[in-house]
Amino acid sequence: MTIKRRQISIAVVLFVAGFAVSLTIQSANDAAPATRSDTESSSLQPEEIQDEILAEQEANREIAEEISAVQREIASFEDSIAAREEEHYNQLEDIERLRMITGDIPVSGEGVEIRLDDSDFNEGQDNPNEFIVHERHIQKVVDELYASGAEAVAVNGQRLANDSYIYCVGPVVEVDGYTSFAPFEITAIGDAETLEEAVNLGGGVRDQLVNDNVQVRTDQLNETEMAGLHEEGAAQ
Amino acid sequence: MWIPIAAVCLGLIAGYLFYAPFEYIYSGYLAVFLLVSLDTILGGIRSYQENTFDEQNFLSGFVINLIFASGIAFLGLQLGVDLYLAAVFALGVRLFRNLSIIRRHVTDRLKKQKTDH
Repeated sequence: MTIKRRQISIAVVLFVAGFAVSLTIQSANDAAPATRSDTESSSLQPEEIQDEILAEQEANREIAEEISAVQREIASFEDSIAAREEEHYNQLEDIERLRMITGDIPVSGEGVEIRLDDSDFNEGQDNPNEFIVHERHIQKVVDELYASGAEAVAVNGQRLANDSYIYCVGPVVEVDGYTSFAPFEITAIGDAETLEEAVNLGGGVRDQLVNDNVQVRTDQLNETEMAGLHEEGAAQ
Repeated sequence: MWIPIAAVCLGLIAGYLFYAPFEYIYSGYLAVFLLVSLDTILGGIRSYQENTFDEQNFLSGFVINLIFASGIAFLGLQLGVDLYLAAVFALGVRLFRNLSIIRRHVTDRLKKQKTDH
C-alpha cells in the first residue's frame, strides 16, 4: 500500500516534469524560427535587398525622367533663343542694308567709277543740246547701278540716298541741292565686276549713252569709301 | 520500476498533445514548473538515499512549491517585474546542492564497496 502510494506520488511528479520538459522543448522550437527570422531581418535578407534595389532603381528612373524633361525644356529654350537670335541677326542685316540705302552710315569696298562727259561739237553748226550730258543720262546710270546691286552710289562725290533727286538746271545738274557740271563722275560701291558688266551690257546703258553722244568711261575701283550723309566730312 | 518511466513518457506525450503556442511572457511559469519538478525529483532521490523518503512530504512539497513558485511568477507578471527569477534562483541553488549531496552519497557508497572488497 505504501509502495503504491509512493509510486503514484513519484509518477505524478515525473508526469509533471515530463509535461514541463515537453512544453519547454516545443516552445523553444517555436521561438527559435521566429528569433532566427528576426535576426535575419535585421541583417538584410536577400528579398529585402532585392526590394531595396528595385526601389532605388525606380527612384533612379524617376530622376532620369525628370532630367530628360528638364533637358527637353532647355533644348526648346535654346531653340527659341536661336530663332530669336536669327531674327535679330536678320533684322540687324536689314537695318544695315536700309542704312546704306538712306546713306546714314559710311560704306567702303570695291566698286566702279563711271565718267560721263560731253562730246566735242562744232560751235554754231550742231545743236549743243544733243552733245551734252543730261540729267536723264545720269539717272539711267544710277538706276542701272542700283539695279545691279550697288550698295552706295555718288555723283561727283555727292552720295545718293533714298530720297535724292537729280535735277536739270540749265547747263548744270543739281543733285540734292548740290550743283555740278560735266564731267560727271558716278561712283558706286558693290561687286565691281558685276557693276561694270551691267553698265557695259550690249544694248545697255553704255550703248544708249554713246548713242546720245555722251562719252562714257568705266573704271574698276579696288578700294573706295563713302562717308555717311549726316557725318562730319560728308561731301557737300 | 516501469511506472516512473511510463509516467515520464506519458508526461512527454501529454505535453506534446496539449501544446498550444503561448506568449513569451508566460515562459516564466514554464521555467518554474520545470525547476520545481526537477527539484522535487532530486530531493526525492536524496531523501531516498538518506532513507528519509516520505511520499506525503514528497508530494506536498512538490505541490506547495509549485503553487508558491507559480504565485510568485503570477505576482511578478502583474507587477511587471520578473519575480519568477527569485523562484528560479532559489530552486536552481537547491538543485545543485541536492545534486552535490547525491553525488557525495554515491561516491561514499562506492568507497565503502571498495573497502568492503
